Amino acid sequence: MNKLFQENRPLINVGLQSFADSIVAAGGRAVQLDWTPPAGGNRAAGWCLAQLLNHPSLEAANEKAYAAFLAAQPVLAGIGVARENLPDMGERMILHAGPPIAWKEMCGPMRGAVIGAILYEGWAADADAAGRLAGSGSIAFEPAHHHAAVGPMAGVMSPSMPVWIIENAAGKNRAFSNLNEGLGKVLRFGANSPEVIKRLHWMAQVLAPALAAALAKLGPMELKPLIAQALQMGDEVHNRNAAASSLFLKKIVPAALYSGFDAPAIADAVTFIAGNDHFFLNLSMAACKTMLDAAHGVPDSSLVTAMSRNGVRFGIRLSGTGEQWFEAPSPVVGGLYFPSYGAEHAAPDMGDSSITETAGLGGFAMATAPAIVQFVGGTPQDAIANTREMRHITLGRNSAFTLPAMNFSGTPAGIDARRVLDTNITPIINTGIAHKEAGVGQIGAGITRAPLECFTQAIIALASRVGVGMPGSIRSTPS
Amino acid sequence: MSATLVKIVPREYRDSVSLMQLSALLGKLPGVEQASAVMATENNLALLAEAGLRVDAKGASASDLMIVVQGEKSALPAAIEEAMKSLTRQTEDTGGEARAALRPRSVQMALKTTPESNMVLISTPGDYAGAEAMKALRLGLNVMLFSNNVSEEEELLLKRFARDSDLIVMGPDCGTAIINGTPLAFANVVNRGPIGVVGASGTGLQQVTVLVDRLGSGISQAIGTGGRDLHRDIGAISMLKGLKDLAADPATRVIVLISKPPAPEVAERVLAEAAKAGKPVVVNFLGTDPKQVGRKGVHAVKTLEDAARAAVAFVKGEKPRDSYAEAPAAQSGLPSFGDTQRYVRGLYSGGTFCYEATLLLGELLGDVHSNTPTRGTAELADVWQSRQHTLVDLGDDVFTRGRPHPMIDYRLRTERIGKEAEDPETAVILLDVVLGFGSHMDPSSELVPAIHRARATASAQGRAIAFVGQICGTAADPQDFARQARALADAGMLFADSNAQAVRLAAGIVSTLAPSQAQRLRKS
Amino acid sequence: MRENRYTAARRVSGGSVTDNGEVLFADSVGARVPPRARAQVHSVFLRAFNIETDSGELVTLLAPGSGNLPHGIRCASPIAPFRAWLRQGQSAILEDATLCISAAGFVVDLSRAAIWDGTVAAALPGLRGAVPQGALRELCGTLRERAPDQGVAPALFSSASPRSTLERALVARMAQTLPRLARATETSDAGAVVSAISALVGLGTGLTPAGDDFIVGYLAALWSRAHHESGMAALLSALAVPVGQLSLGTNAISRQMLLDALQGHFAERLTEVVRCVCGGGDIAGATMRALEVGHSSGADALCGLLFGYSPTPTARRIQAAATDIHFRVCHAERAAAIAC
Repeated sequence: MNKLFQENRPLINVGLQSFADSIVAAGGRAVQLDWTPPAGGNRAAGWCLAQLLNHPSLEAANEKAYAAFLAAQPVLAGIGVARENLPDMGERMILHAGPPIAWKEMCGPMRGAVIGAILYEGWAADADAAGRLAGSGSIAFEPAHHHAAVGPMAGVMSPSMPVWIIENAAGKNRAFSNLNEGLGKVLRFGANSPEVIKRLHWMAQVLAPALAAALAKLGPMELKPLIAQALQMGDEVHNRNAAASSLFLKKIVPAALYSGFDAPAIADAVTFIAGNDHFFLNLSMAACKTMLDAAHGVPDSSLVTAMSRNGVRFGIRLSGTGEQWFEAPSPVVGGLYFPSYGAEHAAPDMGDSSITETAGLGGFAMATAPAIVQFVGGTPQDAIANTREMRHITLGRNSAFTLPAMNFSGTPAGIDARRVLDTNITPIINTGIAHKEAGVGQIGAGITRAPLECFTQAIIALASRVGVGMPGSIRSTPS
Repeated sequence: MSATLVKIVPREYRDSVSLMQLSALLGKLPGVEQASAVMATENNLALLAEAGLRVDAKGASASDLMIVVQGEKSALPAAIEEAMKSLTRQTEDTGGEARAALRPRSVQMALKTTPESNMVLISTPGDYAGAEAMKALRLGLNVMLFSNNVSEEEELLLKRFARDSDLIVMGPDCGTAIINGTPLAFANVVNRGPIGVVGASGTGLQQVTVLVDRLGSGISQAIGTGGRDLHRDIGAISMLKGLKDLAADPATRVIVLISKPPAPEVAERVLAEAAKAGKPVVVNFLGTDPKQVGRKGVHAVKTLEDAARAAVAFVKGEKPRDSYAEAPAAQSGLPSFGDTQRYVRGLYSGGTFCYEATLLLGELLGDVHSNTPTRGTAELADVWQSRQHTLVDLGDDVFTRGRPHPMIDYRLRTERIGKEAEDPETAVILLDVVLGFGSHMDPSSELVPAIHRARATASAQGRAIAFVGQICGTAADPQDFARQARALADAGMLFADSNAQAVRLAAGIVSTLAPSQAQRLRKS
Repeated sequence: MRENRYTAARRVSGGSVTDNGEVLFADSVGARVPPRARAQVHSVFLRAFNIETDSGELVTLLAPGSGNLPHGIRCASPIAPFRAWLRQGQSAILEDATLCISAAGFVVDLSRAAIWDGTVAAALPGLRGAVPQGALRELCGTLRERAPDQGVAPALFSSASPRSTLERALVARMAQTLPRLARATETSDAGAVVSAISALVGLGTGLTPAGDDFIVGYLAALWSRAHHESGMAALLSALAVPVGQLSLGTNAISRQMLLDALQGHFAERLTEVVRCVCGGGDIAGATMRALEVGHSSGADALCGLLFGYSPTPTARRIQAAATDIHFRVCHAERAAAIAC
């Protein structure tokens, strides 16, 4: 039977609503699209997208990448020093959040954090000297993402900082993150005063060894079940980590006490962790990085494996386009500001923490975290609507992470760059807002969206790698 | 004495608790003594009668909800209104949000909700239409591409992909199709029947489907291909696919193919396939000689009307004639024309109608000017200015830039009617009126005043003008064919059944006008 | 738990059936639910919704914790109110152990569901003797105390308000009909049973009109009596076709319930009561649970059950109630006339 002549099939109407109305008036069935030109109206990207849709090699690649993502089992293996553990970490290298950026381009908070890291390493005596050193070209700046690491906000990591070591028990890759310093004057918001540097040293000398001893006693800690449990308790493990931090503490305290490590040090460490509701954030991020790196590097795959911001530019990477970043200006976040601050004080969006959204948590799982919905400006209905919307741009759902508010359905997971472009629905990101001047700290929180332009470029690049046919007239159109 | 009021709410199912709450709510309203919300079963109607309540519940069925209120007569309508409000409030409370969340943004998203869909209709701006069509094809869907401004290169890319996937691309610039009985875009509501049509021309397809319907038969499928399908480079990919599908379709007994003059080698390929269809194929390639086109298994005709008539003849098992052209009956009530009046001015909204008219009028009268010139007729130098016999396709890109198509927006046509009325050489104004989905919902409301104005203009200068036309539409079209015809006839328009007949009628009228004078003018 | 006939059809997918909606699992499926069907959403309620198949069967989707139905599919996990998702007329497909209403993004996975059997035989394994009179008294007592003031029960227990003309008419109709039905049942006169039932189909208040619920309860009693009384089975089989035709006089929801009852399949809440009445058990508890169905539907069915077990005494009760109401109305009218 001819497929076209099958009766009573709903017609999909793209364009004039009146045609759908006529069809219904004539007794037929029609589905009207809420259509806008895909890829924000970029014709070349639109054609690339069209040619990549239902493309056999892409579908196979995505299946493979998505399966690796779902199968990944991030396990907290221990704690170590950046220089000894991060792949290709140089002796005079400072890692930062987001896509590559030069010192002279960096925003205020990131510069502040870099200066703090130089002081911490003892490469310069004071902040002025540190600033000169940073600009001298003798320090290598590289994205943390290039070294299997992620860090919140400025994401600055230097060689002697302690790092979490996360291993993929279902694969071969490892991922890393720094330790969370808490709120207030902290390096990740660009603060570099003596108290900040002093805390960093304490973290390296006391906190990290105490945690290492506890982890050695405890053995590898599986992070996926812990995150899953935290989701049931109202965390989305990006902007709210209260439950996850508590669960972590619950596991680590007995082990720490039995570890035989110096008791006052353990007491200090436990007190520090207990005072920081965001302590788990860096673990959540590293766990997400582990899962996404497991899916990275599948040729032709349109799965998004990183979304990150360096405070100036927003960048994404696809599994199938290697180490290439696709960048657009980082948006200024609209959200709720703390008293006496406003958008004019805000640095553009910054940090690797959007790795959580890339993995289907954070803003994608907002439906589960009503407690912070208001904090980022919105209602529980909005949160559920957002999670629902994200399902349209993901390859599937992660049944390891379920949302009680949505009937325990899985979080939307595996962002497909094609779907983003086709629907013009961009990934939603929960984020904190940093003051544009170094060291002031967090001044608000809100919801932002990944810029569409990143996905437009990514799809054009992917299409040229895959090698799809295009009308010549379109190919010559400048994008 | 208390009164009773009843409201039947069709197919309304509420759980018993809600029904009880509704009764309780209504019972508390001022002036209401008792209220019940019960299903309108026969036994319940009888029960109401037994309770002494006179209830008029004509047409109610057991699936309907019946709300009965008793009390002061003046209070009852308000009570019923309150009941209806309460019912709709319950529906809407939770509805809006869920619906809003489900509106699809892309074809792929839509397929998630209706995986059984098999066709996409695209009418986006042309810049994006090609990519949308490709996406649909890659998802395994047939495409009707209404959008224009899609390049021939894109068309070829799409059609080749479709051919390799056994799908069809109808278009680009495909204005009409009727698939499985559903009129798409600009199409008429016609009976279903055994005749399948494939057309590279929108109004051609409309004319044939409408005439088939009027002749008492019906359409199985009407497939548009877009005007460029029979160009050399495209090679009739869509027409060949349509032909193949109709040949295999058990509901189709006769096939009609329509196109403006195709590239000769493309025509040959189509005709060779048509000859192998295994069922009668009627071909109308406008502007080509039927004798060259016709062959075993292929019945070639000259006009769209002949195509429809021949197809219906095949269905009835009759031998179709080569031509159904007849001399038009002498018209009574024609105005007495002035000395200067001698030309036909055709103002068309359908491109194919204009083209067919140019062919026929050229043969009958010679010296025809048109912006859809045929072999042997002259191209109209200035499309805004008529010259001798002039036929203008007002749907041409020159006219539609920045305004809707003349089938939707009659302003251009009514203005031009006024202009022609002022020309002392205009004798007959020839029009097409296209009904159906997509077209203007009330053409006579535009044309009748314009006709009156034109007559007034002419009579002020001592002339009279004849209006001749055809209505391309069916009784089932949304515009109410009978009302349109009556209004236009009342305004004095002379009707023909088809475009071809309208042209012959117009030609007949002007041929009676001072031939010697016309001859002389032509020579000068 | 019996073997699930759907299980072989499809491996449990573990979640993501569509990207667009919730995937629910069903924990039980009524034995009368067809394995595959094309259907449309027929009616939607807070905790249940119906789909009507192309062949006219009505399948009910139930919220977790609801009593099973012969034509019911019960969801295992809590869900938002059905009304938020579904609209009348949306098309549904039941196949491969999945119910999919794609327009609503609604998918129910049936592969893990147990098949639930709503026959009286399943509720009462092994034949039993006559129904203990004590059990009936207990049923009657609970009903008198707990039944809502709408439907058949007020008529049965003389608590009907004489004020509502519709209620008065209902009591009068029942009082006319039930003695006929009682005689016909006791003489196993199928024709007379059908004739009496015809006066009850679609009668009274409620989404499933009270008369329909009453008939269903009556049939449940007959099916349970068929275990030990000869002639009952013959009467039931003689009723199937004519009463099936009568069911066209009521709405589709009631009709499906009647058709299931004619084949000996009943709602779980009702068979629970039958089991307790015939086989011993917590009659009051089962009765209370049955009363939760609808507003008065549960009570109406239990009145029917009571009537089915002891037709003549129950019919006498209702006649007495009707007389009482008539007297009260006349008295009230006379009082009104004097006052004037």
